[in-house]
Amino acid sequence: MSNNKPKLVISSAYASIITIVFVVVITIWAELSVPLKDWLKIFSGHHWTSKSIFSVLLYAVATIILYVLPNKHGQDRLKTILEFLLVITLLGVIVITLFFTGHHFQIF
Amino acid sequence: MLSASQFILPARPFRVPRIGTRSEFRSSYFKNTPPIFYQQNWSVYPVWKCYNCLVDIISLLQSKPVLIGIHLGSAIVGIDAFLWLLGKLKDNSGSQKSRIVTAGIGVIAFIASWIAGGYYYVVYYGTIVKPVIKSGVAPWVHNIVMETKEHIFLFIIPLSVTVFFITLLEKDDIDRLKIRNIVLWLSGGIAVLGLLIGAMGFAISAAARWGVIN
Repeated sequence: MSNNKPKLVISSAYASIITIVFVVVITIWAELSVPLKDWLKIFSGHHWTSKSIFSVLLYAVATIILYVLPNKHGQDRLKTILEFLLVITLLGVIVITLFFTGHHFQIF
Repeated sequence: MLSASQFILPARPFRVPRIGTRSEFRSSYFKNTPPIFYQQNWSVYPVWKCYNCLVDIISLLQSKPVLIGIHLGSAIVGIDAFLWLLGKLKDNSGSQKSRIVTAGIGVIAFIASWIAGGYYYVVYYGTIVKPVIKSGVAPWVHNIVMETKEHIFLFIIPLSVTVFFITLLEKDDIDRLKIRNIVLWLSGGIAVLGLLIGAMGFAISAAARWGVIN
């Protein structure tokens, strides 16, 4: 087995986690901070487009950097990080749904 | 004296804008009449014809029903691809090449859905659909469902690319690394997330329809 392939998967999984956390944080932050949302609108013409561009760039750059870095991951690390990715995705969906529900009802 | 030809043929040849693009596809009898310049220079007529055809294709792709169709159709292909991959992984069937192709189709389909849906959302939704929903019977559909949908969609591309990278591993390596179960969950999770986003899209369309009716 080529050692590069598991490392590529681990790098991509880490980058996906970073991207999902970034999307959740910037989404909530922009809803609560008008200057940030305005800056996102100015950057590309629409806040969602800016978030899309940043998330793609973040994922691509993080994957490349983590892949290039000379870190050696244990074989058991792959399973753990993929499980963590699944949990983070689920949490991301729940947090964003709850946030917009609460925001609609003016809880925050 | 009036003749019928005045009402059938244009008084002056219809000029198709050479630089400007039309935002909507529209069919016209006169659009195929070349400008005078091209009528007088028949050697460059194919250039005009080609350009005119290209403008029509771009206009067609930018029209609202086509964008929605590409957005939804591509998403269905993406969901099906990852469900198909789930079946292959579960039964340990299919060659490695077939798994790579299946996951690749899923990734490309989700990217196409993202671009088409994003263009529609940025150009048309905010100005045309959103006001209808906000003033309709269920304004919460925009505030909760649409806002959630547009942001969790951003999770799908990194997730699907990660699963694509997993398909690059040999079958034996997947078993040796003990990641078969988690890959099943991830592949199924992408499909479920796609279906959830599809259901949200249906709710948004329904809210817009009811907004117009009421």
